[in-house]
Amino acid sequence: MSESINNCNCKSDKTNELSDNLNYPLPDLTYLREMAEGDELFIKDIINYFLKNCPGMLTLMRESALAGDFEKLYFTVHKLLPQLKFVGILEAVPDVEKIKNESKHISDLSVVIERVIKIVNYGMEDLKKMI
Amino acid sequence: MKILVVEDDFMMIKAIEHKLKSDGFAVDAASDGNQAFEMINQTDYDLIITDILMPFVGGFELINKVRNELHLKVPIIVLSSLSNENSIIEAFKLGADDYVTKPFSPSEVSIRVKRFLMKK
Repeated sequence: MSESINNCNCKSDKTNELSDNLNYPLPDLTYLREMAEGDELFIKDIINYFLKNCPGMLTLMRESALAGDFEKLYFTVHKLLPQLKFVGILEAVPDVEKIKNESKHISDLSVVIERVIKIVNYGMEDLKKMI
Repeated sequence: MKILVVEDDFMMIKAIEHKLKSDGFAVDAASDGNQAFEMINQTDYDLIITDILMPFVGGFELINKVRNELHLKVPIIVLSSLSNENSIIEAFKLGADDYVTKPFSPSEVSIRVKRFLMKK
């Protein structure tokens, strides 16, 4: 575990380093590391929690958009957004903020949502490798 | 010193708990306003940190209950993703003492907590 965390340190310092997935940067763990204050187990717990719960949130986001339930969509992305910032999947943040603030007015909402899901899924794959 | 954190997101609870415990505070957690209200009825907390959007009973309703039903003067810090002016004003009108938006700086939350608790 310590070796993977050391690799994690190396990777997260290179903000321009790309993941293996379609030119998206690796999750930026700067904020999480600041929160952890050196506690690597805390980092692992947070990432594991995110990996366990995020898929359900992505599904809920997609389903509520398909159903036209904008209230549920709002609550879902409202909870998702700080978690994405926490684990450093920052590439998805602009689109998620857009969904949160303008969902009723986005003409291609499903396209935006699928883009978010793709980016977050890639981010989760990277996070799995980091721990 | 005992702090109650009211937050329905496990990740946020762990993050806040981690910082406050490292500062030496005892921390309890509630996942919604209902549970928090029951805990506040049973325990004298020195400070409450609460989210706004939560299931069942949200943060605004909790603040209102603490101030107007229980008539408690315990310091309340709101910690929320809601950053619009209306939400901030509403929180202070209901009786919150401070408002921090997410994502939060652990050092900032720590300083704000200590600011209130040092007055005791």
